[in-house]
Amino acid sequence: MALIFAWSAAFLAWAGNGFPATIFWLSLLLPPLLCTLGYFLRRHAFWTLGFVGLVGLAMELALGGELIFGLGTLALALFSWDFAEFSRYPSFERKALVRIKLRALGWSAGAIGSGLVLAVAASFLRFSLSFWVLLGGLVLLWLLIRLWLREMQKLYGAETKGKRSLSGPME
Amino acid sequence: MIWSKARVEFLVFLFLLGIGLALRHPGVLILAIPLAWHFALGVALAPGNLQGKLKCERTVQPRRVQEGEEIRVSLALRNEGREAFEVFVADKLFPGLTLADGRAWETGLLKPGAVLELSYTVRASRGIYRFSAAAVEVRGPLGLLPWRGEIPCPAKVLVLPRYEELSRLELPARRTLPIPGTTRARRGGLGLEFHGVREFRPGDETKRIAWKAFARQGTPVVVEYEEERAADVAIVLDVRAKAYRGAAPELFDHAVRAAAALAHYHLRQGHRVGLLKYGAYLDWVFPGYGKRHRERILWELAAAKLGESEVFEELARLPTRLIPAGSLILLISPLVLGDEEVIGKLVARGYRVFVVVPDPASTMLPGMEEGPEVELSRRILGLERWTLLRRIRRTGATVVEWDVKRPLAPLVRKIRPGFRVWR
Repeated sequence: MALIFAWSAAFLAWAGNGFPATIFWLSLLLPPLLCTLGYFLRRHAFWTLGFVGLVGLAMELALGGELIFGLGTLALALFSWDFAEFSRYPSFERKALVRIKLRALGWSAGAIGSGLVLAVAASFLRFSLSFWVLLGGLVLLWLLIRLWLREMQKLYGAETKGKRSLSGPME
Repeated sequence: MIWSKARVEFLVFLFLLGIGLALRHPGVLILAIPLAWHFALGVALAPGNLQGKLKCERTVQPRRVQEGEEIRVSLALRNEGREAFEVFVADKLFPGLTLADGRAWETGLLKPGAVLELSYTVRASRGIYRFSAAAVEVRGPLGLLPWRGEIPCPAKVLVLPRYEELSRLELPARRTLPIPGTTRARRGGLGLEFHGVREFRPGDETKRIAWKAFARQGTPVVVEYEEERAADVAIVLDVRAKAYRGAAPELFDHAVRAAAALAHYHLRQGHRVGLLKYGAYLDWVFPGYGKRHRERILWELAAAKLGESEVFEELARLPTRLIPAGSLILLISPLVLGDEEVIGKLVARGYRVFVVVPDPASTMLPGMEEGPEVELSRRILGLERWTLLRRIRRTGATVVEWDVKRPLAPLVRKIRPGFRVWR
């Protein structure tokens, strides 16, 4: 399913650019190809590169004025990104996997859909910010992010060092 | 370290934000909104630290088996929190445990108070296995910041060596203990075998009077039987890695099985049996009797493994102070050159020494090719071994060369007191 979303995102990006057939636009095949490699080789790094590539395609569309296509590409890239981790799962009962995937699909659809609604709503807003307000806002955002990262590291035990206790060896 | 998914998403968001601000392009900034929202929701819905909210119970059935038998391992992971989690639980399979049925992992949605069960069957090889924890990964709804940890659920499984029942081994110790047993003590007393006759003494039972001899001699005489007593038996298992070098790994398992069979036989006969694992370290089980002591020895044998030590590289460091004089020493070892001298000294000190030599040539090394060079080296090694065993037999020790593909019992049944296989 993740691959379908990745290839759909690439197709949407292609459609957003008016189906160009030049050699340059063949490069947009690269992100879904990386995702495909990640799926078959079970390497998360390829998925990450593929996702970043798809976001890059969405950004290219947004820069070209095709915001709706850009948002669509980004939404499909996020779906693909959410489903990518299921490729790490070992094979097991189809029924159980389908149940898990459906649940994930529900959550992803909710999160991405509401994000899209927010983005579309934001596109109707018209306001101007002075440079200093913008800079202050960015500094505040940065501080909040640093604070949050520290809390997360505490919560997830990143400060613990040394060997972790694992199951004991055979005697 | 925060997991890569959240990190990547966050970095991509910052990238879009940076580009949007740098280019003053509202389209790119708007594009960052769904990403930021996805990230924020993913983090808000992340499971957090679940230590204490998840409890795991492990059931292992049976806990004590012989090697090759199957063990059923079941895990029950209970959610004691207030939220539902998507859980992936996996159990660690030790080397030596082979999955026979089921799978050692499970995944599913774990609602509050619900239990996720995982069950599998393994076939075990000799050893003591201590399960300590199950690896658990809990994924949030959007897969950001999953919690990974280990939930303790300890259990211990004892896999004993599979040993054969020896029916007879007539190799008496040189000294016996003042306890009834099965070793002939070469003195008159209570027993089954005729020992001699002597004059009647007050207190002797009248049923033991030899009436015919009384009639011939005119004085009352009584029949004496050879007393049967228990003896000290010391089982020495060679765990020096160098003694097994070049042989297949199963050879050591066969040696352990032989030690278990000999210990079981002698304890059943009422002897006092001690076990010494010699090689990597000195691991001495003090001599004792009975079923409980047999269990103790089997535990030690289950845990036996090869090792190396400069101190115990040669058999010369065998601690004879631990072994009572006149004992029967049962040495189980493939032997190395130089061991014959030590065995000779043991015999000279008054021990009766019986050496079981698991033949390394009887186990094939995996991946070993056949060819004239291999055949030649095999013949050279065979000759070397033949010379070594010949020297040991000359010392007066009893040696049995054991092809591990065949049972040990018929070989030891042939042995008689004073038996020399070849001299």
